[in-house]
Amino acid sequence: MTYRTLAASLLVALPLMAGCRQDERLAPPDLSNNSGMLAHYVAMGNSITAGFQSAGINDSTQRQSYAAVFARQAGAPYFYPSLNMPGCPAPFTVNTTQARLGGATAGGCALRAPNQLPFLSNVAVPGAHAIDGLTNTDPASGPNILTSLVLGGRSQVTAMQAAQPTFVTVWLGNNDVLGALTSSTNPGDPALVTSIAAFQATYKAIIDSVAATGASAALFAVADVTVIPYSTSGTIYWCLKTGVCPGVPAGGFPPTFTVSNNCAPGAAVPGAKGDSILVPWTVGVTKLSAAAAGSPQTLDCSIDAQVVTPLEYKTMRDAVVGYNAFIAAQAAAHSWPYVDPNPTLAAAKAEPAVAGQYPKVAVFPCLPFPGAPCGGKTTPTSPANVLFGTYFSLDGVHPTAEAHRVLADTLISAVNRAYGTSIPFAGP
Amino acid sequence: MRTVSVRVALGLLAASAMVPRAASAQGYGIYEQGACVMGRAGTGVASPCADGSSIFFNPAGIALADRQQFSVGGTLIAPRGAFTNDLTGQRTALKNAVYPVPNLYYVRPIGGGRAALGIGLFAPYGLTTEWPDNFEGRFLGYKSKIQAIYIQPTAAVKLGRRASLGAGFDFSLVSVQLRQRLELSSQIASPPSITFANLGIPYGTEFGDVNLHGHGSGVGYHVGIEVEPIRRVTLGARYLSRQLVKINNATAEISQIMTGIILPPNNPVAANPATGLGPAVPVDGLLAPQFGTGGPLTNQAGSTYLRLPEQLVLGVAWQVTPKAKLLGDFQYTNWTVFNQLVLDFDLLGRRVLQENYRKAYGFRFGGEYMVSPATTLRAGYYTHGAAAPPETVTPNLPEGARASFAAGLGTHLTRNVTVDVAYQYIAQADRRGRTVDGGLATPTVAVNNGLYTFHAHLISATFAFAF
Repeated sequence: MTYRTLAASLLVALPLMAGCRQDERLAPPDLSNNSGMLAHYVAMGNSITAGFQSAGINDSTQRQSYAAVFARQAGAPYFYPSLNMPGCPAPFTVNTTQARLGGATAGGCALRAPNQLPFLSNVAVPGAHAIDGLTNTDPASGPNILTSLVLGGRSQVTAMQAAQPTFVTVWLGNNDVLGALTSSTNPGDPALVTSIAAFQATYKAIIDSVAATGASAALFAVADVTVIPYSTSGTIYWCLKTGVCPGVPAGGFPPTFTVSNNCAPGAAVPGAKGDSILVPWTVGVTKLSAAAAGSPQTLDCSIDAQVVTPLEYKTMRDAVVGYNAFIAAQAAAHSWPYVDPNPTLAAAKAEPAVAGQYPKVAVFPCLPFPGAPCGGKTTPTSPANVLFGTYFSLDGVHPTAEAHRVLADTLISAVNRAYGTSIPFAGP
Repeated sequence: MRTVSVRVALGLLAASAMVPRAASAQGYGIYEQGACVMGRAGTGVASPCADGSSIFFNPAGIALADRQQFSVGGTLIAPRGAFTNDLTGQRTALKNAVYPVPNLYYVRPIGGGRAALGIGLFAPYGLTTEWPDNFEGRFLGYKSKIQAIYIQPTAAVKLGRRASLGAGFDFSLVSVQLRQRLELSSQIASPPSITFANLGIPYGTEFGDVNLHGHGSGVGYHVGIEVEPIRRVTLGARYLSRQLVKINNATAEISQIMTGIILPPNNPVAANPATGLGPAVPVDGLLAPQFGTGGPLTNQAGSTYLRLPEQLVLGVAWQVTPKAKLLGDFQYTNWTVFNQLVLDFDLLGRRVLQENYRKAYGFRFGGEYMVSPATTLRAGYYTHGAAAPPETVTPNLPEGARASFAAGLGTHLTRNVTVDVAYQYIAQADRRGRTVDGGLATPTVAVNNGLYTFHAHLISATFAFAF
């Protein structure tokens, strides 16, 4: 080999040596099942979206939220404001005594974990009414400690905008009617139901802000809070007590527990409106507990401070119908899917283990209280939970992990249909 | 109500302090100290160019000078880089800029040509990198600058007809600047450990700006040897010692940036624990005392030190024909000296950050061909590994393995005046790194959140005068 040949060979080899560099690669999420639509997913909402369960919320319950399940199924980046254990507040461990995880109190808050999040995917705040989605400073808004912990001084809208979303779900409005149902002083208080006009104005402003980002979206209908197990119709109590209703055997209520005839169905007692009266479990079970302990109790469905009256019931139902008509119209106007969770709620109530008998006092061999009559069986010696079936947690309002998976699949179905995506279902 | 007492942790100030970026060699080294050698991709330890730059490339080389040499030159470095976030897909590019690196050499033969004296001024370490001030990595640093100017008086002597030995002292003058934003969520809001993040303040909330600057000096030495063991083949070696540069007069200028955040009523800062109720809290008002008289975030002095690593270069040159020469160099740089940064602030106390740099090795290949008695063409290639470990690839120094091609031309304008020009392209391997610390005192690769890309264009010119 001549010198020149050697030199030429070396020069030719030089470019080849450039290949010695080892490029590393980006590690983007796999969004192939949604064509990248969920690159920046943001969920707006309230306690259900946030992952509230059993009157509490922590990192464990947050990860069970339908929004988390949906993002997981889609392979979407999902960043939530993780709340330290045991929670803020900690969830119930025993709802009849209101004992909470880790011995925490109702006012206790373990604050938020200091995670460095690129953006916030779940901006939902427990307790948020529709107006709280828009602003924290309006006199009508009602920020709580979680508003700060989740949003850090922002509103849900501004947090959503900061995330530069590509896809947004909005499930707001539940608390605009739920607050009336859960009032401790007057269940069903009409003053606590947001007017349809006010709801529409607020909701439209929120939707306009979502549309302005250019993101795709899906809008959830407001849940019909009158069918959740937090309350039970007066009829159920009357039938369980009397055992005279077809298909509803006697519930084994203690003799010291009386149910007034004004709780009966109109078909059984003329003039009674038990079908249109709701009894919060916090009222009914408390009375049952006291009766089981030997203190005579009467459930009187004419006492407004204890039950949701027929007029209040109608007000709540009308609000839900009015809200949802507007939400559906907004969805249609933007060509976004409208996701209705109410069939899921109805199905949950119909599950055999519940059979429409919230609370499930009738299907228990023993009432879950120490000293309660137990039909000759062993009386429980420690407090137990009143359960609300597979799909509702220990507060009777918020979905369980199982229910969140069903809700996620409901959302997935709507999104796949509307956008032609192929996000796999979470399944049971 | 919680007692809010902001305890600012400028850990990242220490993290970024004194660190240059966009350097054109390993770590924050710069190897382009003359257009002639640059045209051969830095190969020169065994056969330096006759423009005085051997003061840097091999001090022994000046012994070969037969006339006085004076050269002045410079290299313009145009770094181009970007960071792309894995999850957001957001790509942020370095600010486009061109940075000059000067060099100046003078060589004078003495003793009838058996020895020579010289002095050189060059910048073997440094550079500047600037990201947009809204870059996601701005809390680690959005602008940093280092200028390490070496002044090296040198002496060399011939050892017989086939060898020479040279040495010099290096006096370094180093100036540094770092600008970074202060991030609120990681700061202590309520002692001993509750941070603003615990209270809901989102990561990325900036509340202050820091401009840290200072200067210092150091001393080191540089030795080289050049041997021709067989005809037409020369071997060379040089060793540039490490330096410890103390920067005792650093100044941190700190200013508040308004967040505009108002925590809504019933927030965890002001709420009555019993009722959960309390007023809204403007965060800026909460922070203002920290920036006021006596606060920890007022302008203050500080000190630190910077280690400039030693270099060992071995090379060979082969005069293939009277017109053609091939060269090869091996370079070792002990970047392990850059294992941590320690910064002491008058008010903020001591901050320590682990860098854990590694030893780095490079290989250079070059050649030149005399196309006419007056003109020589040059070309070369080099490659080297990364000095930064995977866990410390940050905006401050997104360094990685590199490959580079160079080409140059030298021509005699007159008998006494030579001009050399060169171009070099540097391609760095795309490298995973981070823009955050993950809230960890010693971040791991698990915190890496994206990809740094980098390349650079360099042009250089040297005017050499012999007399």
